[in-house]
This record gives sequence, structure tokens and C-alpha cells, in this order.
Amino acid sequence: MVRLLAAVFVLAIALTQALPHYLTGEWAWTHPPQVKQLEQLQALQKQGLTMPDWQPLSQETMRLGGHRWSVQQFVAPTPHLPAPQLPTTDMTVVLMLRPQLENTDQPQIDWVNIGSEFGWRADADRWIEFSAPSPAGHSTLVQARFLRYWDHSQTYAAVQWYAWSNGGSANASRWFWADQVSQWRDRQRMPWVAVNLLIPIEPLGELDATRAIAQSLGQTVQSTLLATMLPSSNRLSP
Amino acid sequence: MLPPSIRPLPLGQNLLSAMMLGLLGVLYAPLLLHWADGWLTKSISIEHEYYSHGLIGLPLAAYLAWSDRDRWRQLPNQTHVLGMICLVAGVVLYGVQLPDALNLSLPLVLLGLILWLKGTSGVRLLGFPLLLVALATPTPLPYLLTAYTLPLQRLIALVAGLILMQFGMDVRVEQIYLFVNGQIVEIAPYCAGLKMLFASFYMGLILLYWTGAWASRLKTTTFLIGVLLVSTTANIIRNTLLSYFHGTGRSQAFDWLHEGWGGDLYSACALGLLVFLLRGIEWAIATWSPVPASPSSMSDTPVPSSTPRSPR
Repeated sequence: MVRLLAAVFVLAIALTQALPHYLTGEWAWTHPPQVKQLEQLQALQKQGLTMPDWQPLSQETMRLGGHRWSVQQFVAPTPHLPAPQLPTTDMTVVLMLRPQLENTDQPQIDWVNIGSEFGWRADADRWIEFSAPSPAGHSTLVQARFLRYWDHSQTYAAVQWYAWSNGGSANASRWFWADQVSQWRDRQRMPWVAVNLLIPIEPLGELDATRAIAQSLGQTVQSTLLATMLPSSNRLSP
Repeated sequence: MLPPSIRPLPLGQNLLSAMMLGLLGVLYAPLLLHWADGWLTKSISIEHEYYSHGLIGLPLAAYLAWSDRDRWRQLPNQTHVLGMICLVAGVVLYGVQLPDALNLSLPLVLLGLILWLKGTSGVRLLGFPLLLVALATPTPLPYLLTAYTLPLQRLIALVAGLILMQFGMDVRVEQIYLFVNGQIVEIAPYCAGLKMLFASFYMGLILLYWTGAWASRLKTTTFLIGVLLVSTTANIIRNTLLSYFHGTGRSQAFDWLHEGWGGDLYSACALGLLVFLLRGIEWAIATWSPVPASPSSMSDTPVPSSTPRSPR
């Protein structure tokens, strides 16, 4: 008797939370958490990303594996690095971005498509880490995929990751958990952008010789994305 | 039967039980309607659609639980403290009002109520209906699984390519892409057949329970391995047909099998095969088992033949 009464009491508490929804007709599934930055992200797909110190050469939108990517070419200044063997001239890099376009878009396994779409071979798959400052002054850690693409005429070092407001990883499940935290804490979805950065290297060149450059360029891309496209919705920021 | 005088306030008890069921109905009816509507009209996220076997499982769970109501009443009143913890956790999840949390709160509240009112013996009685509800509760699990389906996608692309080549078609396979007559077909993560596998295992569980076959570990294991094979094969054939339709420009047939009712029909046929699979396994075990299974034995596991048994 007492047990049954207690159970009914607890359920009645839940009822107080259900009744307002009956009155308004709005439920958790009719009003799921939203992505705030959706308009900026949609513009990013069409216009590409403006990089402060990089000189833009071209921008186009390309269909790759069922999704549209923004593909941009830049002349990027060589990062100031203490390694003497690095090329001293500026280089042309390719920045490919696939931003989230709708609330329900989730990162898929986007990397599989890229090599086969261009007919490139992929090898030397490994991980690379770098951290980039957010506008609010936090440091965000990115764990990216680092690999080599090549065909008969060209070899690229590629850095691939999903960027979001407080981190980045090539592993989509990392985004999933960041998104869960954002939904529970801020009632917002975590916006994301898939990044594929291509750095030309000498034919079949060693990937690890490019690691420092890749980290530096990746850092620049991540912090530019954080400043413009993925402003943190965190209450800490002003 | 106890004399009526020893059962105080039977009305109060019944009234409270009815209130409890009524409250559950008020709390979860809109959610269940939303699930069913999403499954029927496919107006729901792709992860949610993975659980459309709930259309069969949830009514069945309700029916099974309802038919056990007399045995439920006869169970001794035990209380498991975990029951209240689950119940409160479920109500908290309900209050968060995020879609995933709301979904999860249903099985948690049900488990909590059962543990709180009848303890572990209640869970033993209603374990199967509870399992049916839990496995039909939409979660983001399929999304997390897509990261691991790449080998399966490659396998499907490879086998589908080989089959089409047997029919003399111009096919090239690259990773998860099939190039048929210059048309490109992607075996996407959601084509890897996880949905089919989920539904097959779910229907398999129901069949095992319904026929009582799961008292035998041999039957259960053989059947579940069979389910895995049937569902994977069915999915490879489906993807082969899809690539064939797409590669030869039969876009109507492609749409019918891809998103139309053809896909549902195909899945239903594959699920129907499971009945024959279980019957076949039962027949095979009955035929080839070294010791004839006696009706009283709990398990059909073959006894080692070295053990001498005197025939009676």
C-alpha cells in the first residue's frame, strides 16, 4: 500500500512536468535543441572561409560523396619554424570545408569519400595533435587525421578533422559527446564543420617532414573557424 | 485464497493501481504516439527509424504484461531499493525534456516500478516484456555504431560487385563505391544493414520466446548465428539489386526498393524467413541429436556419447 502510494507520488511529480506540455501542445520532440550558428554555416558552404593572412586564389562548391563541400585555394605564408629543411617560399594550399547545414546534420565518415572521388591513393595514415586558442581565450585541442594522398602528378599531406566550438577530432563520436554536453548544459546543439586541409609536398615525400607545417596551418584554420563560424555559446564568453 | 476480512481496503489497492497505470498513460501516451507516427510515416530521424520493430514489440510487450497480471498479483510484495532509484532517475530524465532523455525515461520508470513493487521476482516475471520495451526505445546508438560499419560497407560493395560481374556487367569497386556502367553507387553507413540486423534480432528474440526454444542453449546460439547470416546475406542481395537498378537507369525500381514500400516488403520477407530458419534448426537438432530429447529435459545439449546410457 505504502509502496504503491510512494510510486504514485513520484509519478505525480512527473505529471506536473507533463501538464504544461499538454496545455501548449509543444513537446520535447517538437522543439528539440537548435544550432544557433546555422545561417553563418550555410553561408560558409557558399562563400568559403576568410583567412586573415592567407591570400585567396579561388573558391568553388563541389559535390563529393553525396555532400557539397566548399573548396578554396590559398597562398599561405610559410610558418616561422626553426627547421632549415622546410621550403622557404610561400605555398598553395587547398582548404575543403563541409559545414553543418541543418539542425539534424551529424558528422558522417566523410573522409572515405575524398580519396576515391579524386582518384587518389591514400597511405601513411596517422594522428596529429595541435591546440588552437578560442576567442574567449580557452585552448581547444584538436586530434586530426594526418595522411598522404597521391596520384601520378601530385602528392598532398592531408589534415582532416571535425571542428566544433570547444574542440576538434577526426573521430565523429567525440563530437557526439561534446554535443550531448552542450544539449544538457546549454540546451543547444553543438555546431560542426568538417575540414580537409591539403598541403602539397614533393612527390611521395615523407609525411613526417611536413608535420610541423601541418600543425601550424591546422591551428590557423581551427582558430579562424572558432573566431568566425563557431563562436562558443558558452555563458563564460562576454 | 485469503478470506476477504484479511485483505484490508481492496478498493484502495485497486484504485492506486489504476491511478498508477493512468499516470503512466498520461505521461507516456504522447511519446508513444510520436514514436509510432514517426515509424509509420518515416517522419523521424534516421537513428529513430532503426527502432521501428517497436511497432510490433511494444503492443506485444503490453499484451504479455497484461496476461501476466494474475501471477503479478500473487507475487510476494518485496521492495528493492534500486527500484526507487531507477524510478526517480526516470522521472528526472523525463523532466529534462531533451528527446533522448525522454525516450530513455520510459524503460527506466517501468524497471523502477517493477523493482519497487515486487522486487527481483517481479523482474523475473516481466523481464521479457521489459526487454522488448528497452530494445524498442530509440537511442543515438546507431549513430555511434556507424563509425564501425566501414568494413561491413566494404564487404557489401565487394560482394555486390562480384555478383554483378557474374552477370557480365561493367563494374568497378573502390572502397565503398560501386561504379556500374559509369553510374556511382555509394554503400552509405546506413546501407550497411544495421537496421535489418536490429529488426532481425528483435524478431528472433520474440520467436525464441514464443516457441519456448530459448530453454535450449544450442537452439538459441545456432538460431542467432543463423539470424546474423540471413540478415547479412539479405542485405547484400538488396544492395546488389539497388546497384543494378541504379547502374541500368531503372530509377523507379531503385526508389521502390530504396525508400518505397518495396524495401519494407523485402525486409518483411527476410524476417519471415526467420520462422523457417527456427523450424529448420529445431528439426535438424531433433533429427541429428544423439540422445532423443525427453520432454522433461531443460536443455537439448547433446550428452557426450562416451557416457553409457541404458535405453529404457
